Parts: sequence; C-alpha cells; structure tokens
Amino acid sequence: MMKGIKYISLIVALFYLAIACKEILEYDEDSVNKVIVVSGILSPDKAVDIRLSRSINRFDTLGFVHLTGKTVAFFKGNTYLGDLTHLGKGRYYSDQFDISAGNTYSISISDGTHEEASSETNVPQPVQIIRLDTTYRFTQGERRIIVTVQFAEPLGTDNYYRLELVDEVFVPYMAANKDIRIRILRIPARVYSDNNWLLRGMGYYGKSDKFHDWAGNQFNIFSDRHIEGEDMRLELEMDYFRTDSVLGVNRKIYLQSISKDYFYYLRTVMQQSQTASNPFNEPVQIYTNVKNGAGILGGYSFSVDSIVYINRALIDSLFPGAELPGSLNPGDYFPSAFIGDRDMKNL
Amino acid sequence: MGRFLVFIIGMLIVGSVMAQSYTISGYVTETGSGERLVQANIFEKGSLKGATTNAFGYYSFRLPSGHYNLSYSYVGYGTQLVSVILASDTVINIELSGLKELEEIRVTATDPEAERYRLLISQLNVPVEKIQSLPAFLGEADVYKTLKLLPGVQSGNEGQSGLYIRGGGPDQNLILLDGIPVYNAEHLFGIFSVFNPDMIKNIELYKGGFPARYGGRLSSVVDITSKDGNLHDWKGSFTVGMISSKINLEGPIIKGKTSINFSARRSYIDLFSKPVAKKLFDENNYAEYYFYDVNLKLSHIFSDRSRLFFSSYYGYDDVSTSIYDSYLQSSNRWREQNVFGLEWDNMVTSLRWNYVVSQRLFANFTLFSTSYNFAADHRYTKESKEAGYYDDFEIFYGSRISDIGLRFDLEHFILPGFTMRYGYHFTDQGFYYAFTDQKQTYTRANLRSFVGGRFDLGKPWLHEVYVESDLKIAERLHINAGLHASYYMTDEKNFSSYQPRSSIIYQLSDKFSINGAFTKMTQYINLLSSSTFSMPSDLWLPSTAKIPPPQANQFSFGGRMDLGKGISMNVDAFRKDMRGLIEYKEGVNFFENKKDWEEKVETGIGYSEGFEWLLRKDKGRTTGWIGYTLSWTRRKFDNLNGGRYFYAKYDRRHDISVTLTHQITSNIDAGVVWVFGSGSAATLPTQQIRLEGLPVGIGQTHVLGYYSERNNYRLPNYHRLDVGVNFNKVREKSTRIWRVGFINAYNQHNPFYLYVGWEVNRPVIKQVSIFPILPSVSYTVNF
Repeated sequence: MMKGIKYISLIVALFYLAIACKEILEYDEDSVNKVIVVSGILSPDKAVDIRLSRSINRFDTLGFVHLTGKTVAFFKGNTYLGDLTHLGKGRYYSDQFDISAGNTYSISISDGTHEEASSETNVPQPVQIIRLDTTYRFTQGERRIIVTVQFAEPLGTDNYYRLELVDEVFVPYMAANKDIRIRILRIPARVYSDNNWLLRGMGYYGKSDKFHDWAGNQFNIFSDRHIEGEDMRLELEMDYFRTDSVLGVNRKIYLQSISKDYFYYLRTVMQQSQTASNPFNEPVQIYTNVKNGAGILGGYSFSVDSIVYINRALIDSLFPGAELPGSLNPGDYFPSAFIGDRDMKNL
Repeated sequence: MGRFLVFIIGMLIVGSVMAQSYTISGYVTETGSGERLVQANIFEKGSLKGATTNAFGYYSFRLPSGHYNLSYSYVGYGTQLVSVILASDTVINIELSGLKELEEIRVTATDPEAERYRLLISQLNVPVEKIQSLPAFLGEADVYKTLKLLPGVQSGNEGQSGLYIRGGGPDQNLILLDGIPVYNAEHLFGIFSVFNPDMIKNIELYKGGFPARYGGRLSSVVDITSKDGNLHDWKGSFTVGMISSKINLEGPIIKGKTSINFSARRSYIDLFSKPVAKKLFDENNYAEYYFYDVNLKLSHIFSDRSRLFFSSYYGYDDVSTSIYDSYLQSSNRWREQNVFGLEWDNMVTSLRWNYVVSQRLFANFTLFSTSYNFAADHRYTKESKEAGYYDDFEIFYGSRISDIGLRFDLEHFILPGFTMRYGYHFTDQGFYYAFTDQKQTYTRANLRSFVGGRFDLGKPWLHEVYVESDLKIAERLHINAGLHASYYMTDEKNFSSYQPRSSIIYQLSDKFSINGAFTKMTQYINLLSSSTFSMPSDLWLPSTAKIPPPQANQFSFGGRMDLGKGISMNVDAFRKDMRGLIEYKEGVNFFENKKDWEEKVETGIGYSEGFEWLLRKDKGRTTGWIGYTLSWTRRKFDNLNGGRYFYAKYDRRHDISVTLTHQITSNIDAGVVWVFGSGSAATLPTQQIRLEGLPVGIGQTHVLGYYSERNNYRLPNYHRLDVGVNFNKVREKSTRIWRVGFINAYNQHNPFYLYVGWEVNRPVIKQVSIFPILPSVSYTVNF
C-alpha cells in the first residue's frame, strides 16, 4: 500500500509540472465575408454626405478600404430623387436634395446593375427648447454651472434624443501686425451625466442601472421611455466657464431629436468601447440598419439655445472704450455685436 | 381526453370484478447486503406480464390464480427463477446475487424480454458499474463524466461545468439525490460532480418523455439513488487517487434492521501546491484549492411494511490565493497584500418514510432541505508602521438558494400493467444575495463603511400535484400519461401551470418498437450566468412578475431494435420549444451588483432539435455503447442580435462518444472512451469597421469591432481519447484494484478559451488548453 502511495505521489508531481498549453489558432480571416459599411447622418438643411467603406479583417493593419465606383441612389419615401456624386475616398455627396423633418429617406447602393446594400431612416421633428435656466453649485470644491433645459416631450410617439453641448470659446490672440484678433474654438462641453438619472442610461435600462459602473453616457443620449409626454426639466451639471484668458464663451445646447436607428447605433458604440476589453462583460454587437451591410444611416433635427458668458474685465482691458450691448441674445455670435470689422476666424 | 378517462374507469371496474386475480408484491434486494434494487425486472413469460421495482425496490402486480414461473433480473446480477402457485395475495421478497459473486464473467444485462417491456422513451439507465470501470479523470471516477458519454448529453468542453442536455443550459436539469434537488452539483469548477460513486446505487436520466411525477426543469431529470447500506455485514472501501482520497463504510447497526452507509472524500491539491508556492516564494504568497464531501445514510426497517431513511450530503469547495509584496519606499517599509477567496457548499438532507399501505398501495413521505451557498471575497491591505499608514479594502459577493419542503407520493398498483401515481410536493424557497461594493478603513480605529448589504431576492412557495398513469394494453402498447400542475406564489405575482405529459411505446414485433412522447415543462427558477463563462458564482433567481417562468414543450419520436447477442439500437428525434429564457443584456458585467438583476436581463425564446442514435452492447466480454447526436440549438431575443435567431453558446452540431469495456481475464478489464464534439459557438469580432463623418464625439471616426451574428465563431472541434486498465486482485478478506490509464491519450490540445495576443508584431488568436495527456491512477481496497 505504501509503495502504491509513493507511485501516486510521483505521478501527482508530474501532473503539477504539466502546465497549460498555448498555441496560435490558425484562423482563416479571408473566409469571412466582408461587408459594405455605411456612414451617414441626415439633417434638415444640410447636404447629404454618405461615406462608404468595406469591413476589413480583425487583425488587418493596412487601413480601411474606401468604396469607389458605386452608385448610391437617394430616395425620399418611395420617390427617387437622384444619385449621389462620388467626391473620392468613398465620399458620396449631394446638396441638391431638400432634407426636411418628418420624412423618411433611403439609399440603395449598387454596382450599377445589382443592389448590394440598402438602408432607410427617418428625420424626426425637432423638439423645441422652451427655456434654459442657470445656477451654480460647488461639487468636490469645484464650481459647476447647473443648466436646466426645459422642453415638452411629445406624447404618443417614441422619441429619442441626444444633447450636443458645444462651447464656442472666443480667444484673443495677437496678429503679426500687433492687432489683437479673435479666434473661435468649438470645444465639446462636458456634462456630468452620472449626476443625471436620464442621461445616465436609465432612460433605456431602468432605474438604477447604467451602461457600466464607471462609464458615462458620453454621447448624452436618452429615450422618452420614462418621460413620455412630460413637461421635462433636464438638469445638467457642467464645468463652469474657463475664463482666465478668453473673452467669453457661447455655450450652445442642441436638443437633437434623433432617429431610433441612430440612437441604437450610438448606444452600442458606447457600450462596446466601454466593455470590449473586459472578458466578464457580455459582448456588444454594433447596431446597424443597413441591409446586407454594416454601419448607420441615421437622421436628426434639432433645436438650439445658448448661454453666453462675457469676460468683461478682459474685454475692457483689451478693447478699452468699446461699446458693448447691454445683453446678448442666445444664439448671437456675441463678438460680432461689438467687435465690428475686426477679424474673426472660425477655427 | 374524455374517452381516455372512460377507458381508465372501465379498467378500474374490470379490475375490481376480477375475483380470481391475486397480487404478488415484495422487495428485490441484493444478496448479502440487503440493498434494495431499483428498476429490477419481474417478468412472467407465459402471460408476458411483469413489473419493475420502484425507487425503493418495491414491486407489485396482479395475476389470475394459477401456476407461474417468475423471472427476477437486474443489470449485472444473476437471474432468479421462482415458481409459484398463486391462490391468494402473495409476498415474494427476492435476493439477487451479483455476477462476480457467482464467479461468472459479466455476461448479461436484464432479461431481454423483460427489458423490452420497460418504458424507455428518451430515458437512459446509467450503468453504475461503468462509472467505476471506465478510465477515470485524475483517478477520480465521476458520475457526470459518464453521463456526458450518453447521446443527447454534450460530451464536454475543456473545463466546462454543468450538464448540457438537448440544448438546455445547466440550470434546466433537475438533479435529484434521493429525490431532493441539488443546485450546484460540481466540485473543482465542474471537473468533478459532487456525487461520490461509492454511494450510488442507481442513476436514471430522462431527456424527454418526463413522467408526471417530475417537474420544475425544462430539459432533463437526473435521478440518483444512493445505497442504503449493508444490513448484514460491515463492508467498506478505501481509494487513493491522484487528487483525492475517499473512504466508504457500510454495515448494520442492528443486524437486519438498521444500517448505516458513510462515505467521505477530500482532495489534496492544496497539500501539494502550498509547499511548492512556499518554496518558490514565501509563506504569504500562496494559491490553494481543496474540496471535501461527506455522505451519510441511515435506514431502519420497522417491519415489512414500514421503513425509514435519513440521508445527508454536505460538500464544500474552497479556493484562495494571496499575493504579497514588501518593499522600501522613502526609508519606510511597506507591505501590500491581495487575498482572493472563493468558496461554495451544498447541503442536502432528507428524512423519508416508506409505508406499504396495502400490497397494491405504496406510500412515501419525505421531509427535506437543500441549500447552495457561494461567496467570493477580495481583500487588499497596505500598511507601513513607520509611516503610520494602514489601508484595508474589501469587496464581498455572496449568494444563497435554499429549499425546505415535504413530499407525499403514492404508487397504486391497480391492475397488471396498470399503475397510478399521485403526489403532492411543497417547497418553501429562499433566494438571497449579498454584495458589498467596498468596505474600507483608513486606520484600524476608523469605522468601516459598508455599501451594499444582504438582499432577499424572493421567498416563494411552490405547490405541485401530479397524477400519473402507467398502462400496458394488449401486451404491445405501453402508455405513460399524466398531468403535473404547479402553483408558484411570489410576493408580486402568483403563477400556475398545467403540464400534460404523455409517452407511448408500441411493440411492432419481438425485436422492434416505436415510441413517441409529448411533455410540457415549467421551471420557476433561473440561473443567471455569463455568456462566456459558467462559474459557481452564477446566481440562482426566482421567477418574478417581470421575469415569468420559462416553459418548454418537447416532442420526441423514436424506436428501439434488438439486434441479437445483447446488442440493441435506439434512435430518438426531438424538438423542444422554449420561452421565457433569460440572457444578460449586452455589455453587462458579470460581477456587477445584481440586486436589480431584472433590469440586466433580456427574455426570449429558443428551440432545440436533433437526432440521437445509440448502439449498445450489454452481453459478452466486450460491452459498451456508441452514441451520436446531431442537433441545433438557437435562441431569439428582441434586444439581442438585432432580434434575429442566433446559435446558443452550447449549440453543437455533432457529438460522438464511443465507450467500451473489455474483460481481458477474470481479474483484468480495460476501458476505452473516445469523444468528439464539433466546435462550440462563441462571439468573436472577426472584422473591424470604420465609420466616418458622424457628428459625434471628439474624434469623428469610429473604429469598431464587428461581427455579423452573436456566437458567430466556432471553436475548434473537441476530441479526446481516454484509456484505462483495472487490475483486480481478490484476497482472503479484501479485493484490491489498481486503476491506471491516460486521459487525453494522444495529447489533443482542446480549446479552453481564446484570446487575442501578439506574435511577431501582429495580432493573432491564441488558444489556451488546460489538459494535456494526463496519467491517471488510483488504488482501491474493498474490504
């Protein structure tokens, strides 16, 4: 018996010396069918601008393949409006079509004879911002501005929204001739969505869930699932204006009404980027509304309002004696109101 | 249905006026030990009538007065012939001897004619002796490993836990130990089951055609009966294996009246790994794992009519690792330690009382409790006495499911070939979940701050009643039909379910029968598990108003053919439609707080369909079977995969198993197992896409991983050959057995998981395999 136990001990030792084997898996990437990828978002009063490319293998590092030589037919409802023009590098464009809210548009991509892919979306009606209110508070020692966006959520339809927040920052600089001129920088403004139940993702998931414990709603999208038909006051906690060296900031708040497809696409983009590196996360499939392809043809319309901050002390020091209007209306490019013929370059 | 009831009532009336019919009943037991034999056959050749012993070894049937030759048989035992002149109700208790005791080579299964008359629709009796004689993984014979060799049961993936039967997940199997559910029947992350083969008397696997007495799961029933213990002599065994040792003792406390059966098993991976780690690192760095389990069964015979059983099982697994570092920083000595721990345990306890109310009415009362606990803990400490710093951070996650209940079952042997079963089951369930986001102290004196807590996820009650009829008509037709009804009471909503069950076998000729079955099943619990991993931490959850109970309808059709010389062939085709299935939503992290679990899951439908083929040889020196399964399993959820059907992660197109044992001499036998499974499904972004010009985010280009379908990728095929030889030596008072062999004999690298790695500056998919060729050896002494 003791002899037997000795033998077993020896074999056990050998077992623990055996380590897990790793090997490269031969994977025939070329056997995977590559798909047409559509990128295009339609909006009223904007040109139709669609990008076409083809998917590439997971491990390709040579870059993407832009699709050229395709025929992209554009439709409003069932009415053919015309073909888009290829501008090169897979960009198909036309400013001849009138995009308006409340309509459905589609594209058909073909090699001239056979349809290879197609997609359809709608451009929702805009929802007006009724009012913006501001106040501020200190959070963790930082002064933050609190913006309340008021809008009336339409009853009876499924609506999807995105808040786009942009700071137009007016920055003085000295030109070669020693004149002081102004640049306008467009910088995405940050909203602390973790402090807002709607933007945190609950509009889709429910009351206490979010995309991920630590991740934010970087695209600021939400649905009307929990606010259907409500007179909505959406409170946003944002960074206070950085004012040390700027003349002012025009903080624009766009309330975009986005198509359902676009909403789902943005949601899955966020989820995938936030979770793909963790094997304990469920996989996220990028949403598409492209038949026989991937990508998105989405639509949106918007209403906009803005908050203007003026650094009067800096303006007075740089432009002594300049007459400034008593107040600036939201939406105005405030420097043009008093700078007059001074150069202004939109960067 | 109405006509059927009229027919049943008619049969009852006819039965009552058969004045010249008498009842033969009794127990069939094993010679020497008194162990009652389950599913033993009793057969009267002249009238082609017979019976099968129930789960307690009891049988009963009626015959007209006259002279009869009764044949009693059981797999692996000699057949007993009894001649009886029936002139009154008669009790015949029979003892059958194991073939080895008869000094014969294993030559027979059951009486083939008797076997033909057993109802076997999508049901397999797992030969317990095969569990011990097949090549054993790391020297540890295992029930699950043997079950996975049967058609309809996936033969396994590397390190895969749970049973996957006819497209169902591990939670869809009702695993019963002496009639009581076991919730997580696995040790060592699924490599072994919790069932110690030394304790097992009988295993029945139902994949479809479920009798009405079973309920609560969608896909299968694995009904395991443990041995009662020897009533006459003290016996035992002791086994030393590669990773564990075990002992089994059984014997009479009061000879012929009261018996005890006890077994215990403990792994000793930790005994080897801890010293190695200590040698390589230091005492604060270690990784250890161990499990143990204990089985106890007591039985007492009050009289021929009354028996009492107490059985209890407890099993425990513990994994812990520690990573420790000590370093100097700014002339201060700092110590950092991460300790990770996982532990889980099962406890099953039951008290059963068998009472023969009359020769034709057998009653069984059961009181039981069963529970499964899981806990995971991560503790991080950092301290420097010189710097006066102490940091202590801990995350805890735990879950528990527990049942207590009672069962009352009646078996009524009404007429020859006509048995009714009735029963009522009550279960009081509890689901608990504990989660602590973090608890942290900055100094030892500070108060700890706890976030999270312990949550009751539900305390539902489940009431079940059933009526089941088992009827043989005209000696060729065998029908099992019944109804299982259940009522599930939760705080929010109550659910009721009526589940008709029916199976039918028609004997076309002496050698060929066809069968068909329809069953509806309802399941009131869910197992929330990751789509990529199956772990002990998977959370058991009750059905709720938002997540209603899953249900399944299953049809199966098949046939059985005797090919002679102990060879038989079974074919089965099945289709199972399921609804109320759950999957995590996209992007949800498996380790997130699950208090609001209903918000993190999607519900959907699915189906599984396939074909199973089994060629089995039960006679001669060489016995075994070849099984083949062809199947498809798909799921559909509104918010997953664009609302389209996708293959389930355990969809497997082909599954083959070859299981053979050969008696080389009277003391040496050998076993060979070969399994093949086509690749499992996994989600792998195989392409990348770039979207340009979208007015979102700071960057204007999205580069994204892309896959066309969920579970779009197939892992490489799985195949493995195991070989083993058993050397038996009979001594005066004991028998010793050496079992030696090789698992994965040709060293196939089967996939455990895949990941993206780098090779010569290019990304590649790498496969990790965990089990190369492994020797297997164990030493057993039976005394």
